[in-house]
Amino acid sequence: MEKIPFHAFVHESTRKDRSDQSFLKITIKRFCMNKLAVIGFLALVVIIFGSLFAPFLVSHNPAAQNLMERLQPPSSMHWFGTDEYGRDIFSRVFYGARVSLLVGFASVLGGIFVGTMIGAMAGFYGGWVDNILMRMVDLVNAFPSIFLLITIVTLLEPSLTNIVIVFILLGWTGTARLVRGEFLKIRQEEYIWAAKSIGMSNLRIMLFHMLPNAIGPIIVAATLGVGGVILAESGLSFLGLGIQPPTPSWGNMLQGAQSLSIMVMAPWYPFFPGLMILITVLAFNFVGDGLRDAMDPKLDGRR
Amino acid sequence: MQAYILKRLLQAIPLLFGITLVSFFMMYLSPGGPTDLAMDPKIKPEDREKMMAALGLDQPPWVQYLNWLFHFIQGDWGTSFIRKVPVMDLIWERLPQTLLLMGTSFCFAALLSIPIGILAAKKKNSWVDYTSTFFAFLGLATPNFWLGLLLVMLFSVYWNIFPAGGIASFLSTDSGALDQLKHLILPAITLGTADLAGLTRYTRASMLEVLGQNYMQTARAKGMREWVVVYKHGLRNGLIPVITVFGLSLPSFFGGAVIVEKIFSYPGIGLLFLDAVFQRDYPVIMAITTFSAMLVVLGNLLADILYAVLDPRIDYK
Amino acid sequence: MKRMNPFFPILILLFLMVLVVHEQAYPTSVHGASRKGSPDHLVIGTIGSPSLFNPYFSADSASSQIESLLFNGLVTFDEKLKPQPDLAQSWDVSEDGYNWTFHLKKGVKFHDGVEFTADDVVFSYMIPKKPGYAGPRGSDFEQIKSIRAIDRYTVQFTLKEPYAPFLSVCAYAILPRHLLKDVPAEKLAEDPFNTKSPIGTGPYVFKKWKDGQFIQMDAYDGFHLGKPAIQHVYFRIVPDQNAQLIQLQAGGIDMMGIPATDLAVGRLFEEQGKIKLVSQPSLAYTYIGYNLQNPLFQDQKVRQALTYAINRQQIVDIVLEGQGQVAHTHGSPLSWAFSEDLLKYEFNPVKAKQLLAEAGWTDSDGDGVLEKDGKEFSFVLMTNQGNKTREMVSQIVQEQWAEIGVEAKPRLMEWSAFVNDYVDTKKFEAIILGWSLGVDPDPTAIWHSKEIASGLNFISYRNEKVDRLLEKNVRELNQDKRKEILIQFQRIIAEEQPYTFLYYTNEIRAYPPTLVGMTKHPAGALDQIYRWTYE
Repeated sequence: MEKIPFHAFVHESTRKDRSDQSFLKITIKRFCMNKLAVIGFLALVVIIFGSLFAPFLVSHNPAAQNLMERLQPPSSMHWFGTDEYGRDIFSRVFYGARVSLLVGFASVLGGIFVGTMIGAMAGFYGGWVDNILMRMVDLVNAFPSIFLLITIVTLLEPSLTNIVIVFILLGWTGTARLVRGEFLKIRQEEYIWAAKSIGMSNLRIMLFHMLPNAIGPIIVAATLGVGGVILAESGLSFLGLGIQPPTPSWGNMLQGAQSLSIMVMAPWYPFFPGLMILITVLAFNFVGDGLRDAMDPKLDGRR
Repeated sequence: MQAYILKRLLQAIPLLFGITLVSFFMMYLSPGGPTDLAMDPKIKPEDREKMMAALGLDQPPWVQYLNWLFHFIQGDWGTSFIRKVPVMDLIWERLPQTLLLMGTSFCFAALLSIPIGILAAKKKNSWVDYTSTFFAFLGLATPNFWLGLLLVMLFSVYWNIFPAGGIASFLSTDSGALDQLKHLILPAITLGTADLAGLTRYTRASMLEVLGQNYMQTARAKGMREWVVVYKHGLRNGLIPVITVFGLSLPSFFGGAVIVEKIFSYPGIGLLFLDAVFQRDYPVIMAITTFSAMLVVLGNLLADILYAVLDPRIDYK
Repeated sequence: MKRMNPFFPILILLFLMVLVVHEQAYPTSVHGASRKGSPDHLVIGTIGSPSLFNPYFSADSASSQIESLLFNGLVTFDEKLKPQPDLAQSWDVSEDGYNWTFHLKKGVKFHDGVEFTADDVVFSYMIPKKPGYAGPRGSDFEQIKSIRAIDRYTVQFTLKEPYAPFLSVCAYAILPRHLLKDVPAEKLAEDPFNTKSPIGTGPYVFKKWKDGQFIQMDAYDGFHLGKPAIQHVYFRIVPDQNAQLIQLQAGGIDMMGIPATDLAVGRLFEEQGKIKLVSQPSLAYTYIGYNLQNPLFQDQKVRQALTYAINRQQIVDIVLEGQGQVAHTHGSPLSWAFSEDLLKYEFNPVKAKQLLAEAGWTDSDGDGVLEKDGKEFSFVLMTNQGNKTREMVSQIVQEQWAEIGVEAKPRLMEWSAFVNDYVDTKKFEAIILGWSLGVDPDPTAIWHSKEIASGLNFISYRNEKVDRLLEKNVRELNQDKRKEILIQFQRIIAEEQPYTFLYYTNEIRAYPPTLVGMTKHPAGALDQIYRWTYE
């Protein structure tokens, strides 16, 4: 049996690394040329910054009630008006951003973690492992997600952690399929064989040699996914099954503003949290699309 | 082809079995039961226990599940705990409404997204393209219940153009299909907007790809008129992937129906399900989950079949 | 395979839809009468979907509203909650309180024309006593030892022991024996009678039920108190509050209950001349219940302090838009068994702090929360979600308690889970809930210590004196003496504050502007609907 020279493997690997670096540069460059993506990115920076430093940016305590000043229209005192307890909507929107973004990021990261592990195992080992894991994916996918969401949320009570868990339970399948696909594609590649033959552990191979290939599409899917989770949380809140008050989230602020009296008498109240959801999801979509286009080699010549 | 369909259907059986198993035990673990609902000072614990026993809830969960499965296989979907009528009756009564709503929003999404998408692709980088892209992004980012409430506020409360809910006018002289359509418009728009937006973008991308292909150039070179080229060659090929997406988005229509039905008090499956969850009406929950899982499986299958029918390059053995 | 036009499947879909539309054609314009002309109907909006129309098996308010139009009991309770004849002409009770004899009205006919007799009474009231019966009403009939038809128009009940609230049991519906006598008890719940063809003696006849949409009922020509003036009554099911209100504005609904949180739009519609609003006290009160097994709440002074710290009048003004009344004890001011002369803990945060200090609670570490023996005064204040007023109360109370150094953490839970996991198992610390009281003032089910284990006394209130008073109250047939006993009980509860009694809610209802004849019945929204008419 012919022995694969070690230096060949090293060479292959470093070559790839170098190309990765330039790939990153090209991607960033292309991303920066996409105006919408940059706008989206800047918007996200502002929103994330605003939510992180909310205590220094807003003058009102988001929990402080003032029952004498309920449902006031926007003014210099309360930029976005006040809610049904006389709380400042502007500061609640910023504090709500923390919760909504936290749910979005945590759910997506968790989903990626679980999805990557399962997808990697399925793609790496193939055979019956792949079969069983992919049937699990089918099972989760075939569940009508809203029904599952409603049932689990009532089962677990709608706390922040539980809602994140539910989104993870439902959200990992996309990543799993993606990672599995990539792994199946490259498991036959020479450098993987090489790595195996020099006795590298499976985990090492998966982590350092196979996973990097899937990172691009994962990042794109994740960016789009955060927006999706924020939307889904607001939908759950509408049904009364989202994050529960008094913790402010954009979803439950909208739910609080849902009654016809408030919509007629204080239309600014549902308007602002809704607008924030819209802008944030829009920004995530812009960035996600921008990343996808920037990473897609097919689009090279056309843009 | 038949063999392929049969194979796919057979594969669906263990899947559905798994779904019923998971949903049953999830339900079993969920807190509360169908007899907690009315915390009426008049209902005593002894009565409650008797009621539980009459519903078979005093037995171990696996016995309950096997019981359910046994009846289900024979086509008996059980009797509602709360309503005391066969679950099937309830579903049949609600299903046409939900299908109608889904169909309308489906048509709304399809009939608008395809021409817009083609136009945007045809006139790439024109104002048409930019406007449609802008609205598509907006449509994808809007929470659908927010959109629904907005539409209700504008069209029902302020302008009084469309009714705010229900499926037909109550006790009025205008009746029939037109009246029903008026009731469908707002819910259908609410339900269909996200898909309209997604499909517009999808059609545009798909058409862009096709329009650049060699055979299009050839057709043009042959001197065919532009719209004939676009329609005869571009459309057919460009729409193949779009059709698939339709099939795959079927379940999302079904899911979105829950929220939309709630906003518009639209008496469909979604509302039935919400009620059942809050009332812990287990047979109804089980039936609807299984039913919609079947729909998902069918939707996927349908998408694949359509794909095969439309694209002769694909051959199923 | 031949290539298919991609529009083809869409065309098929469109075609199918047209078919569905056609098949679903909705029965509109049933009577040809236009809405504005001569209203011969009333459309009542309901949020909940009814379950079935048999009071021995249904337990939801949407169903019981409809049942009240379909059926009659032997007796009924008037606006002052005094018993009045319904299907029974009169009744008498034996000296010892064991035997109740009812003399029935003659010539009352069921909707199918068959005469109502003593056999129907025996049949109906025996339903919950049959061994196969599995419904929610068994305990109400527990006191009955036997029922006997003496003749065609006389029924005699023998009780296990004298029972003062017995007449409230006799308000249960009389079902037609001739239609149901052959149905075994265990099959009765699922009988089509309950959902397809309920038949009673009430003012309205069941006509049609379109699931999830409406229930149609028509006036019963042969109603024993005279034919109702309004020919058709519809219950329209609109599960969303907003949609219901918009329907009210648009004229799709004539009558509905309006929650205080939406009173603002209700008033708007009233100004537009679309409706008239009527606000009236009800038998329901809302409270904060303290788990008395928790050491935090065992000291009476602490509970009094918690009540002192809450500005309940402000809550009524803000949360209920003034449509309510501060509550101080169990019972209703509308009842004959009530006295306003009680100990009242009016809003007084200074007094609250002082009482807490007396009980040993001080803020020694200066974090704004009181401590005692190293434990902070902090607890979870739970309530069920979906009830906007309770949610608001929990957040306002949290703020007001924070002022006196008590930390409450509001938490909302879905109803069924809430009841099952926290209330029934007594795992809660404090809860906001409400009671809707029955027509009889007997409070045993909520306050007697025998109800701690598995009954409604889930806060574990235990007071021997109260137990004895409650036992005496159900034996005492003399109403004046019974009233005295109940007032004694109410004073004890008011003083000890096992609950912080918050408020009595008003029922706010929207009616068509020209509708007249409604009564101010605190428990029955549709009381004497057969007398209602349009001006």
